[in-house]
Amino acid sequence: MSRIDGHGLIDRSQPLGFRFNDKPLKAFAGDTLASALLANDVRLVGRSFKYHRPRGIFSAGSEEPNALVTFGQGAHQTPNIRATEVQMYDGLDARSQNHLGPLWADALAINDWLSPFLGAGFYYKTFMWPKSFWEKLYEPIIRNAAGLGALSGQTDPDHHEKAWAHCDVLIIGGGVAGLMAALTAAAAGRDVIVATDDFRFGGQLLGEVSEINNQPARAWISATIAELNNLPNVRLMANTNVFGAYDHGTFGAWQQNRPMGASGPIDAPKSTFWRIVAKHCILATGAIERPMAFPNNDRPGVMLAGAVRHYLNRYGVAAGQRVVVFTNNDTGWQTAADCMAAGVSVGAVVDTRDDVEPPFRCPVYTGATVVDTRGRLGLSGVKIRQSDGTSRWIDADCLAVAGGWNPTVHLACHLGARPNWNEDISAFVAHDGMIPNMVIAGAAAGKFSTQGALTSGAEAAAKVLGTSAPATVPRAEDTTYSVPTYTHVPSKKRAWLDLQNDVTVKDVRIAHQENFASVEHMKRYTTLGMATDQGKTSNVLGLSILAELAGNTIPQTGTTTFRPPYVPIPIAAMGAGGSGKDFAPERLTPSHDYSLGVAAPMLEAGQWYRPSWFPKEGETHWRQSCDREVTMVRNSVGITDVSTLGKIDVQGADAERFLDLIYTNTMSKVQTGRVRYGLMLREDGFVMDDGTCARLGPQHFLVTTTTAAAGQVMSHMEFVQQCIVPDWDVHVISVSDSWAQFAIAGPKSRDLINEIVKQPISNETLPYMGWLPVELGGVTGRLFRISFSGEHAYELAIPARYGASLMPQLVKRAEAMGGGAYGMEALNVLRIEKGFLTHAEIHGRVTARDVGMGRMIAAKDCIGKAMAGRSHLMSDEREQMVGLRPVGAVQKLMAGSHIVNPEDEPVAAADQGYVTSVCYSPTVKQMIGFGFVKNGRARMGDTVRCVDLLRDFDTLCEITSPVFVDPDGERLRG
Amino acid sequence: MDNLVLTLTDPYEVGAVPFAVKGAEVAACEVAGITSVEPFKGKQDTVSTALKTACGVDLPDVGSSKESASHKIVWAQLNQWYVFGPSLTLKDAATTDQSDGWAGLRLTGPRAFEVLSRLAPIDLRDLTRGRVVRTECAHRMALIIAGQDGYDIWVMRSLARDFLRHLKEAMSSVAAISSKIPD
Repeated sequence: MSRIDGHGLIDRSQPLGFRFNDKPLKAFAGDTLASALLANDVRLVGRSFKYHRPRGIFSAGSEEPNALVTFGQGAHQTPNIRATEVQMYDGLDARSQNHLGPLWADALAINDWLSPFLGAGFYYKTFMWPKSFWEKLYEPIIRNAAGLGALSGQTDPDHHEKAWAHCDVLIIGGGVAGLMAALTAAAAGRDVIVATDDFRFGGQLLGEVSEINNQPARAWISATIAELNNLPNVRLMANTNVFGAYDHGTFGAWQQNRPMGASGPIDAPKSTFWRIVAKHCILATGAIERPMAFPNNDRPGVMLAGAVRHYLNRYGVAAGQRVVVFTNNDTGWQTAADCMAAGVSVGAVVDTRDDVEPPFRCPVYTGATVVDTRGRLGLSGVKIRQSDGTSRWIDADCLAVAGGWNPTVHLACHLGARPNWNEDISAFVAHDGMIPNMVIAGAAAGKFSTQGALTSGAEAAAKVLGTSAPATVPRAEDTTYSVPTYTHVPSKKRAWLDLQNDVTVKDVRIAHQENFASVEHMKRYTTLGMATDQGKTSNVLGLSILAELAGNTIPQTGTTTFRPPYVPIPIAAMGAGGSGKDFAPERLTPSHDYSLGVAAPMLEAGQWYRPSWFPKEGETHWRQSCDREVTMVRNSVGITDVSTLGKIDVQGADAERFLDLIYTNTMSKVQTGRVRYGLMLREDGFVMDDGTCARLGPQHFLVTTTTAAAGQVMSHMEFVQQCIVPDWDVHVISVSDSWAQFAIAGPKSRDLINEIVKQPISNETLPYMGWLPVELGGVTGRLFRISFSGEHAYELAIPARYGASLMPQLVKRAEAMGGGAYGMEALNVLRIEKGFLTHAEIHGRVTARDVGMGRMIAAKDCIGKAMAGRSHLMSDEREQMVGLRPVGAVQKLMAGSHIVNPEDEPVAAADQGYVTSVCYSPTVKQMIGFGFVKNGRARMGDTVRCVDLLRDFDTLCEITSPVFVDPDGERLRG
Repeated sequence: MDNLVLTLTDPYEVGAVPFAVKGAEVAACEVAGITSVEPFKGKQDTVSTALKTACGVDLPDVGSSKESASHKIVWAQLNQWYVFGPSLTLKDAATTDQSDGWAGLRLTGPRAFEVLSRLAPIDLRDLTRGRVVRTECAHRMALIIAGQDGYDIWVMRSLARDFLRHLKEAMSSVAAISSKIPD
């Protein structure tokens, strides 16, 4: 065990048990998985991406490139989780990834021996021939060998949720800068959200020995959290990673509601996907330490110096028994000091600078560098080159590397702004305004001292509040940050930049040699910064090397683009609230429960659920049910729920001329009590929708739309009313859901209606295309004599809440007459037999003339009329709607097949049109359908060939009139 | 054949409401009826006065509602109001009976705010008592009226059953999440 007594924020009274690679280990409450692994002397935690090199824990935060583990089994499997961010709990079970065989003896480590051949660009150059092998052979093998953890390939069974939050000030980062900003903004009464990705607030200082107001910094942090927790206008969000900045002050945040892999109550969402909308934002994300590149700098035991301090001070864990510090700035010395104070042996401090005065006694090498390391599965020694040029090995099991600090600027760059290079601290720094209404505070703004963080936090809040004087700021350490300039040790050996994607200094050099000199090209050629950590510890180092090779400065070289998400976010969390039943709302008709009760299979029509057919005993195939239902409507009476049709109430002094503008035909001439079929065009002259328009009163109409276009027609009418004729006195409102509406169709429909209405109807009182208010069962409804089947038919509308009660009674009466309920399949057959349209025909690319309704465009003006009159839209070369019936040996039709002349090959150049709707007609006793054929109306009786190459279908058809049943409409008027 | 008897049916499954979790509960809104009111051109003041006489309250401003003992008038959208309560006719306005077109659920309790923030993208801090908003709520259009200790959420009747399912899921989620913040 590497625990240091008396150190850390862990709760030693709460011992926990966990497993790593099935080995039982011990931890304490307050640990992360990473700190617990180090405490158990587990140094080897994974294998590298390409070379399968042994790797250990490198950092203590979200920047971790090495310590990626997998949680869960089966569909619950979650890969690539940073051990440094997983809060420990009893029973945690994690395993390492990307190795073949046990972790300590990974068979794929052979890649490391082959490394001379596996440099940047290797794949593209080597696996060129034969070309077809790439996709089938090379790529699968390479992908299998190189990689991270694996997905389960199954749907995520865990429950995630989404939520919105709104606030005046969003503070991203729970360190002292963020907390100070929160105190200041909250005191001014603003609604504040403070988010940290840690399970504990306090940020970097949780891992430092530091004082605020002459007390341990942790005391100030605890008091501040307690104070903020008690304020009603502050929301503290721990375990919340604000991963992206988007337009209009919107931020994406992912909150884990329980530690990774932990189980919870069945209703409890594993995570919450937040959209936080903030009037102002304070970015206080701190800084990430950067390493230096030197040969073999990737062994388990080589760590960031700040992380070594963090494990020691926050978790009471010594990262090694004998620590060597390699630094280019003063912060490395703090690591040595903290280790020595905790009784951890410090083998040496190796400082690249010559002019350093050691602040305390320990073995010190100034003007020196680390030129090599050793230790197969973990560091055992480092080789240093001293200022006099001589080299020597020093025993060490931990090498703490301090290469300077990079402000965490990622979020500030998400809308495209670039950070500024600050020569004073030799780093890219975020500045105010990179995101509108975002102010930068603390280390993210390059203020690296505790005092700097506190002051800039208060100042940032003051800026947001519009006040000048910041609140009184606590006193703290305010040392000047020494500028680190040294970046990498020159050597022919491999020196890693990007640990996660196995990119070395040499790879950058090769990229530059091959003229991938732009930073964006270098990134893609080498894959530097393209792993799941997005190069948090490697990017700036890579840039500095590229700059050096090109003889440029770093700001001249520029940065690559920072894109959301800041850390990987599970797709399941992004899709929360949108999977399964949440994918789309379910719209149910008034007769829904009836349909389910008689086992009618449901069809999704947009959001609506509609019955496909109503099976009867003995029917084993849907066609049997459908044919029976069609015959039933043609011979007696059928009932179907048509409540899904859009219904729009139009009123006002200008209702008449409004409808004349909307419809191609003249609705102003419709008399009260009458109904007219109508066609609407889009502005571009193509058909938008068809339906009926009933006149309810002098200034009162009821428009019906198709189910599919109900929303589109409603918004079209609102647009026309509000934007084109805003001065007209016309009022449109949807009444779609107010009415349950049933089609009662067939020769016996009037008999059925007269059984249920108070005042019997006749052909005289209610002729075809008329409507009447009717009373039934004490309720007033509307009875429209309209037909979508070609039969003598009605649509009966009653207030929706009575619909469920009416449906079974209608069906019962119909059944007594030899009829019954019919579903969507029969409805479709009936309308095809009669030549009626649906959106299969008016699919958005046809004109009124194309569907044979050119004459419905009246002499008056209407929306779309001018554009419909364009010469090429009037041409007979356009495809026109026709009927089709098979005449060849294959007595079949298929919607979607294409039409060519019988003598032509089925190629695009010979295309004459296509088939839109087909059915078997029990009335004409063969398959029939609709299609669109060039100059089709002039080709009645012609034989054409219908071909579907995908489904291997080929038949001869005759072009016919689209009306197969009762062309004179005698049944309708009977 | 028997006489036709029509009975009222709720949009929800039997026993689906009321429903409660720790911190939030939902029940069906009970209203006598809903009438949409759109004053004809130039008649808004006349209609407002007529409503004051008929219902005790006149037309509220955009985004708000007014309530009397018998009626509640709710702004619904541009030049459109809903009168909740016994139905009425107005000479100078286009009116429709919307009673059957909508289904309302009353969400109340100390965590109602958190529940609604799972479903609607709006800034709920602005939705104080009497305020009204037309917004998306769980993938569908809704009319939300803020009450004393919660919200009346009205959706189209055909979408009500599915909405209740969604709402219950959000309620259960919120109830299952601890709101404790570690120090």
